[in-house]
Amino acid sequence: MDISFSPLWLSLKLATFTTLILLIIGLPLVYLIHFKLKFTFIKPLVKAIVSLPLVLPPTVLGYYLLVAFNPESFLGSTFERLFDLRLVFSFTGILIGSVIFSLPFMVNPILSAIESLPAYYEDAAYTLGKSSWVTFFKVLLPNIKASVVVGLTLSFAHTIGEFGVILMIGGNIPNETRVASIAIYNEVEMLNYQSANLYALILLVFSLLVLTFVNYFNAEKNTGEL
Amino acid sequence: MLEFSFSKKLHHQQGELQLELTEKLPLNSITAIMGGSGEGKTSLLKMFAGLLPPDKGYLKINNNYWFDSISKINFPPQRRSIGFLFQEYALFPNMTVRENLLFALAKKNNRNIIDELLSVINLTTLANVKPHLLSGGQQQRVALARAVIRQPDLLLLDEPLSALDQEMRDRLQQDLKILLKKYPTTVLLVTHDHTEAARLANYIMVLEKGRKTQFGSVAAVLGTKQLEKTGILGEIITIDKEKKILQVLVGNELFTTTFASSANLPEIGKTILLKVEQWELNK
Repeated sequence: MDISFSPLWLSLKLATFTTLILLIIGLPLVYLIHFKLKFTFIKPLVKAIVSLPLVLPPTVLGYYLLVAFNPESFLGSTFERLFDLRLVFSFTGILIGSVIFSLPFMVNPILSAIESLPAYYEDAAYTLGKSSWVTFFKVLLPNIKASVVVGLTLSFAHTIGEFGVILMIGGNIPNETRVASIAIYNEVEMLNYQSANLYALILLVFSLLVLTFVNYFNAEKNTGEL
Repeated sequence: MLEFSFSKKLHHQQGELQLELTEKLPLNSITAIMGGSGEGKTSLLKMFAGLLPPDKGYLKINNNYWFDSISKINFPPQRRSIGFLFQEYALFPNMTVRENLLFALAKKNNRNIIDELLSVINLTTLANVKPHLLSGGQQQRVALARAVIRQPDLLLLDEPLSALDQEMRDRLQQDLKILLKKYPTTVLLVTHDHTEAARLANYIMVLEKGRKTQFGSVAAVLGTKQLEKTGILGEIITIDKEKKILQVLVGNELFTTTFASSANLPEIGKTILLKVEQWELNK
């Protein structure tokens, strides 16, 4: 039995890029929600938008992204014109989709950890003349490192397990959008149960390991020093 | 002069409280703000710090406005020259004692002050330890050092001694006196404890239902009828069993009082509650 490693490789690549991008946009987003939207009615709205992918069927999100990425649409045509990139049925497209789809897995653990820190850390930093930006990076984040690791790990794992959104906007193109989860679907469609079995087993073991790691880290967080 | 007038509606578990307070305090004085729990004492300190905006009023120090509701001036905490000692210490757990002090320093400050402060609070040997490994008293001293390290114009202390045992109280009180001699500043300290007020302050302001009911020197306020019901806490210094006379230290002043029977008499060094009519200043 021979399986192609390309879907596994593609899944890893997608998850790595997604996680890195989420780290870069996730932290400023948490900063924005916590510090700049405090006591405004926009805060619950922004938190709801970030959390939408948790409750929406992936096909709904995938459908809207497909409409938005369409080369005829404003977003799709702008991307083609500026970067010569096609968003539908391409790696870039599923990467953007993954970032949006996994956003709550990065933002929510970090945000809730920040919000559960006592307010006096923030107040103390302000009375010592520090800006909210310095307070965020030097005081708050270092005390919730474990939650950042949890956010990173969950984003990575969630992207590996993604299916609906990728199928909607990326289709099933080998070496481009056929990630491991899609490959399983593809093998089953072609009645190659043995290959499907192997892909499924690899994903199962991987997911189990990731969740074990997250749980281990959560336990550490509660017993180890801050 | 530190001049302020605050008007603020506060909401807490017991309901609403309308805080109305106006006063002028001389610079480099220490004023204790006293009152029971739920009198908005901590909220008041936060208004000085810029962490809680008053509904109306003003705050000026040395004729510089930090807050004025009419001309819409409201300096954020970062722009006010303040030091704040939090009831919970609020030391940053991710930083060592030294790093906590270093973080607090402004760029313009001389770094030598860190070692100087560490030796005043006698924690030079624990400088590279994280705060959670220190005792409550040690944490409080680090928090105090951190609050004065920027040499602020206004030092705000929230119940600085209340969580500490007798030995630690003496220690912190001593440290505070040394620090204030070295770096004089105007101090507001909030407390519900007469002894704490008497020990540390020059002036006492008593709050009741959000309003000032008394203000004056420590002796003047603590000697008034207001405290008749509660009395005042003092430390027994000497016991004369023959003449049946106790000498009690209240703040920095020594009082004598008589007692009827030697039975159940506390030992020297213990804290006792004196009724006002028992007082007689030991001149």
